[in-house]
Amino acid sequence: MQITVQPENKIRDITRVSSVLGLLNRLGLKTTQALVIRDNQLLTPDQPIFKDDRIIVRKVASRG
Amino acid sequence: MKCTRCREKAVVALPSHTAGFCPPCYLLFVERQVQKAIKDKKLFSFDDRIIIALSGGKDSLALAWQLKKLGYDIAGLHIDLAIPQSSPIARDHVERFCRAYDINLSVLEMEKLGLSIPEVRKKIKRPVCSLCGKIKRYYFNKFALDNGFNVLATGHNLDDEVARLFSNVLSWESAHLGDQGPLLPEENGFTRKVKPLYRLSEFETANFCFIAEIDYGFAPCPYSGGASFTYYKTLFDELEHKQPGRKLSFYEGFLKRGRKAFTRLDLEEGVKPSPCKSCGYPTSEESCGVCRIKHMLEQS
Ligand code: SF4
Ligand SMILES: [Zn+2]
Ligand SMILES: [Zn+2]
Repeated sequence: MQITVQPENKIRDITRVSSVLGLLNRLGLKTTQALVIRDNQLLTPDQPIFKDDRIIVRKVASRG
Repeated sequence: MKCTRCREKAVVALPSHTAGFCPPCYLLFVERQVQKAIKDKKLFSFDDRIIIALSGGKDSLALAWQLKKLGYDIAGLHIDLAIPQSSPIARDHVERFCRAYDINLSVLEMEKLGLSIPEVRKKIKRPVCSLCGKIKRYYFNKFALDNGFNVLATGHNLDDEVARLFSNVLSWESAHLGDQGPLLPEENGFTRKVKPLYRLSEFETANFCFIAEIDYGFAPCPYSGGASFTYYKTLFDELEHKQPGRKLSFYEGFLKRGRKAFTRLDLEEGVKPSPCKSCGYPTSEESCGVCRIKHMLEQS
């Protein structure tokens, strides 16, 4: 699946994860460190995700 | 996951509140957190004239959106810092937002006041963020007083507040510990300052902006590299992950049980500010911070 990590707008191809939680773990993020968005909808960590999904991971930290 | 309130599908999970919410219930959750802050801490009433410091980031816009919706008497103030990489984008977001929601906006341009931040940074060999922070606080306060606003509201969230508190604790900054909190009453030439979002984390305000469709800017300031509290925020994310709700209870606990001791200490030992000899702004020295910055710029 194609993952866009914001705010950097870095595109990553990630395979073999089946839930939002798995995806966040793979990216080294806690569940409250990013919004996960598919088709303009927010996803909770328990939601399944699929191989053809295009997903935005928007980190929330305004660290600056 | 289902919404804790209405059993529809949840889109936001909040371990700290052991809850999940669908979009409409989430907006309600945020509204209640803000109302609770305003009521419990007696931040302001419908009779107050409130000026909101709008940076263009998610928190300040979320704050304006919510206070407008609740029907408070608000206006916005944006400070254009004249930083080429970030200021135009920030200002554009603020201007569009205020137009869309019919909020009265004033913009102060630091360039016109001879205080463009790149200039300040080039000419004064001090950490730019501390100078920039001084300048912003000065003009927010001055603008409020000069224009008949009796409350200055900022979008500081729980993560900002906890990081600041932790930093002050690490160095036992007793004066800062004594006046940290969501309400600083008006005194000694400073307007009342409030932080109505202090119960909401960064994650919560980000979800709020997404659901309320608030378009915010995320062009980072090019000078934010060593952003002071970043590391503390990351530390607290770890702690919050292991102990959900810890951040809020740490902060509320400080307000209830810790702060008083430091306030008392400050009354005994602190210096009472007096008016700056050039501009009248309250300061503990002869000239206030901004007059000193201006003076240094003239000399360089
Ligand atoms: S990062 Fe520093 S210089 Fe940039 S806007 Fe913030 S305080 Fe000012
Ligand atoms: Zn609901
Ligand atoms: Zn002065």
